[in-house]
Amino acid sequence: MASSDSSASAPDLPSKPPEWTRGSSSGRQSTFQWAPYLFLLPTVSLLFLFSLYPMLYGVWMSLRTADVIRGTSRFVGLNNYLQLFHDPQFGQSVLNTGWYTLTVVPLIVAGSIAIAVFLRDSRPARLLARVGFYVPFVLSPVVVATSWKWLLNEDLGVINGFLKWAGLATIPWLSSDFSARVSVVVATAWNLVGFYMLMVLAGLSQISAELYEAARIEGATGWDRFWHITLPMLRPTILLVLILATVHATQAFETILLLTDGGPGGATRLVVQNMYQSAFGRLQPGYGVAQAVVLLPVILFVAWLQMRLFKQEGMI
Amino acid sequence: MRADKEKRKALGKVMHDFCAIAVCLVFLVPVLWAIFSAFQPPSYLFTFPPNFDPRKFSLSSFQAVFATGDVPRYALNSLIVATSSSLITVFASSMAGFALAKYRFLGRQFTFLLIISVLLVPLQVLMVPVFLVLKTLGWINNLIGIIIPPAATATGTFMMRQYIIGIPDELLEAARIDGASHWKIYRHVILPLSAPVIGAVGILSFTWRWNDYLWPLIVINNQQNFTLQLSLANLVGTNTVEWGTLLAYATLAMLPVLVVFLSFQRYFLKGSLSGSIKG
Repeated sequence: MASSDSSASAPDLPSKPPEWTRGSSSGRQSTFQWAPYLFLLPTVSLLFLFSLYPMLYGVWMSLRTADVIRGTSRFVGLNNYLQLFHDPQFGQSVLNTGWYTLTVVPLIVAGSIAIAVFLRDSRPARLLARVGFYVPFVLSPVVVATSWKWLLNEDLGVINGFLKWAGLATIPWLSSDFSARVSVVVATAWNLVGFYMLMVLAGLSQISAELYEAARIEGATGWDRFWHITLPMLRPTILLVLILATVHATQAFETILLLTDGGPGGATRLVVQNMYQSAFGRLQPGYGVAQAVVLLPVILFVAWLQMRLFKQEGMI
Repeated sequence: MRADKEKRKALGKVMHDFCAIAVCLVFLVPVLWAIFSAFQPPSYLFTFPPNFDPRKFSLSSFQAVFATGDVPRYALNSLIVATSSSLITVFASSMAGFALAKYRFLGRQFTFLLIISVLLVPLQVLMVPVFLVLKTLGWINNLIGIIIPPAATATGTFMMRQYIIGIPDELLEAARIDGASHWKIYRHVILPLSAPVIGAVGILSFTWRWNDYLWPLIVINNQQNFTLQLSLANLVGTNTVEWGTLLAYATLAMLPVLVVFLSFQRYFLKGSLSGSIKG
């Protein structure tokens, strides 16, 4: 990207202490400045109380087991983690998260590229269509799940209604393993794709028109231009979309919980839902947190990748 | 000949525009269909082919929504939560953004990276320990338990910092020479000059908090403190409420967000690009 070679002129950091904080009287710059720390206090205390401390507390909890009746807990070492290996339900939820991620992420990547290329020109109709494609992303998980549940309803939904009307067999959208998985993937990709479309559009706007002009003179077809200019030039953007969509996928929970409740028979129960049920349903918080702790390094790794990419792009 | 080609090209563009709108409408079918069904009288809800005759549309499902519970109360709760939480977000993130953009101090880069990376760890993963923290604080079953915890967001802090970096140091220096305190500079220079980004962060966080489901789900368990999302989700699970009512409820619950989004879509389309996910 353009800014990778411009570390000298990195836009964000002044290279010396900003003059303005010294004030009118000279010689005061050595006094300790409280102001920035005080300004950071609200954000940092919220962060400590509701992110950092829970993270550490979670690790501690995962080494203990709760006695719900007496309201106490005792140290059990790595038992909760060892238990994970023998828990077929947890194993299934890991597998489920795996296939879910491996299907929803490519769908989102391909979908967002296709839509963005399709809506590339900034003509009014296409700007309007962009807004339309973004709409699902601003809807709440509850609204998204309710809408899809209605659309896919087995007896009363409009899709099966049409199939019946056309004399075809209806499809058990949310109650057979395979179709429930397809429905979950499609509904959640539908929810997110508008957001990624915007990222791809931003990437597209960075590609210089001259490249396309040159290709046109060489007699390249539209398809050639897509494969040999658009896609290669979009590489950094696609990488970012891949990373963010993976984060989205590993933490997918609310929409799926409402859409299928993890069913049928656990076919769409992902790790986060399994954790939720262990902790709040079966009152084994330590065991629930152990599952989160297993997931945490994955998420931190992806977050780290994301930060590196941002740095490369000069965003941080 | 040439004019002919130009004409064909223009026609192609118009066709492309037409297709763009058509594909977009098909894409939106799940939500459009839900809204459409909410206006059907219950007797037409399940017929196929569906009723497209507007004279037969009815508001009876919307009336039925208010019989399912104290809906105005839930709406008020949602409004209180979304408004106060996004106000806190605006204040906390503008102060933090100011400190990170305009001061040099020990641990600045570290704090910035810490804020961005830690706040990116989703609640989904932390919900059990966070629940216990809220329990210790006595915030379970209290609206404050869904207002305060999500108020610090990585996106908000990041957007504020990026914007405030662009405010010229000379303005701050001038205020400093006039003897303004750090707080006064924040209050009378930074805040007014950051109005556009404050608007963007405020609007984005309002819709996030309005849409929140996970926080209310783990924090709230008595009906009085339900938000709209929580009460709708509970009804969808019960199977005792008519589909028409559920869809009318969903339509009402998405209405404020849709209105805010469509009137400020510029902020959404730009703001969401500043490098983060929903916060």
